[in-house]
Order: sequence, then C-alpha cells, then structure tokens
Amino acid sequence: MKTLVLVFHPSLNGQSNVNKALANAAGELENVTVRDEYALYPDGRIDVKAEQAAVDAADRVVFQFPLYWFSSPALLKQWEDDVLEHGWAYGSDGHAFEGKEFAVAVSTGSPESKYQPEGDNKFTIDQVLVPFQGTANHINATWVKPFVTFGSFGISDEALAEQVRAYKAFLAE
Amino acid sequence: MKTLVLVFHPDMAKSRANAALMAAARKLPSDAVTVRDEYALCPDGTIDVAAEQRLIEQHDRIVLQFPLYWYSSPALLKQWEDEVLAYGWAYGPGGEALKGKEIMVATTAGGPASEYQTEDNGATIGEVLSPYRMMARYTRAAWLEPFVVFRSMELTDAELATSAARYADALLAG
Repeated sequence: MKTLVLVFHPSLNGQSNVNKALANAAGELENVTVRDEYALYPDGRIDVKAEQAAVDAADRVVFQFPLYWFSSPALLKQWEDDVLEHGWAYGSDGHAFEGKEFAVAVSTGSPESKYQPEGDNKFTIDQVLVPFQGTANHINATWVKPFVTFGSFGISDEALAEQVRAYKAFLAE
Repeated sequence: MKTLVLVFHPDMAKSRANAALMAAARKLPSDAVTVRDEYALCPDGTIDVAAEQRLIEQHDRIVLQFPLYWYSSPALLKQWEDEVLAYGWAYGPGGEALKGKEIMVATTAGGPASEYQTEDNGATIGEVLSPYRMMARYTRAAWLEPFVVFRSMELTDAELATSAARYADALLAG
C-alpha cells in the first residue's frame, strides 16, 4: 500500500506546530510520500501533470491541512479545481481514483466539544467535511474515516506526541 | 438595506447561469445593490484585503455567488475567506465587522436537486453549504436561506430567466 500525503499549510515550516509534526512523522514512514504543496507552488500555480502522476503512483491519498473557515486552506481548493480534471478524475473516462482510498487528516484550533450540535460551532467535524466526502464519492474513491486533531491551539507536547503516534498508525493501516 | 454581491466564477465569459444571475443583480438600483466580479478584479489571485473589508463595512447584506465546484466554492472565494475575514476584524478581540449583517450564499449546481439527497451523494445542499453557515455563525452574521439553481447547465432560456428574476427578488427581499 503506497500512501501519498498532500500537506496544505501556508506556513508549514513557520507557524505550524501540529501539521509540521504530523508531516515530519509521515515522512519517516516507508511507503509514504509527503508533498508540501504550498512550498511546491508558492505562486499558486499547480503543476497538474505532476500532481496527477503522484496520485497515479499511490494507492491511498491523504489531504492533510489545518481547518480554515470550516474548510481547507485555499490552495487545496485550487488543487481540487485544477487537478481533478474531467476525463481523469471523473466523467466516462475518468477513473484515476477508482479503487484508491481517500482520507482527510485535519487539525482544528478548537476542542472537540465545540464541534457538537450543542457546541459553539453547532456542527460535527463529519458535517464540516461533507464536501470532501462528496468529492471522494464523485471520483469513486473509498472514503476513509478522517484523522482529526482537535484543540491544536496550545496543544501540550505530550498530546502532540500521542497524535503523532496515532497518525503513524493511521497511515500504516 | 444595502446589498453587496460578490461573484466568484473563474471564467465568466463561458458562464451561462452565473452570468445571467450577475446580470440580473447589475440591473438592480446601484444605490441598493453593489456587484463585484471578483475573478476579474483579482486576475493574478491577489486580493485587495482593505478594499474588500471596506465594502463589507459599507453594506448590510453580503451575498456570495458562485458555481458549486467539488461541493464547495471556486478557490478564490476560499482565499477571500482566508484573507479578508481577518482576526481582529471578522472574529477575535474587536472582530465584529460581520456582526449583525446578513450572509447569503447563491450557488449553481450542475446536477439536479435529486442528486443532493441523503441517499445518493450522502448530502443535501444544506449540508454541503454548512461550512458557510458555520462561517456566518462564527462571525455573528445572520444566515439567510441559500439561493440555489440546480441543473444549471441544462436550463432552458425561459427557466434561466425565471431563476434570474427570482434571484433579483431574493437580493432585495426584506
């Protein structure tokens, strides 16, 4: 099982704490390829063919990102709009993701208690991620239960180390 | 009530439904409705954050109009949210710019309404749009019922004209 982890954090080697630790951990694993997409495309112009080749070489694709406005950072949306072409990802000749697994690894600033019907945000994380699940369905990929790091603002070193262990296990599954 | 319509379509020249909706909005009195073609304003993806914030401050209702791409907006709207809805302005200490304003999403979907049912794609259009609803909640803006045009690529001219008239009504309602 070859896994491709596409990391979308606008400042992975600057302000990021959680996503950096998770990306570094992923990079230590065999059969896992990590791509820092904002570093690859600082001007926002995505090399569609290179991204499609990376997907073609993998059995599982993971979008890793911090939750911004209850969605991904903008470059991931650009990636979807540009890379998931008709005739490649969908449409009668679009089979690129068929038989592949597709997962989201997301971090939220707020704790899980806010992502409850009675919490501040009112919606659960699964509801927040509905657009990604819909995308997975549309391209005939198999949706894997998301890997979620809640409460990433002010996370303790201990809790982060535990998440890193859990992420490695998630990616090795 | 002053309404700001922010249109996010990457290729308006090829658009049919969003172009018709935008044209309908532009026919409304300009002292009541301001319409901006954001991709045309930001061709290189650079958003003038201060200008966008000032426009929001000058309006009571903010309409985000876009074609649905991958169960979400085209990328520039996401970038707009990430940059314009800044800490200390839209949220956080002193961040009350959207408080008390209204937010409405106006979107066009290629598929029919029946595609957005729990049994099929696993999501209703309301669920698909929940990230925007949460954004409104987070910025303490009121959430208006979304304006949705289904089967956007198959509409007859008459159906599209009806949708455009309905849109004009929705922009001025209340």
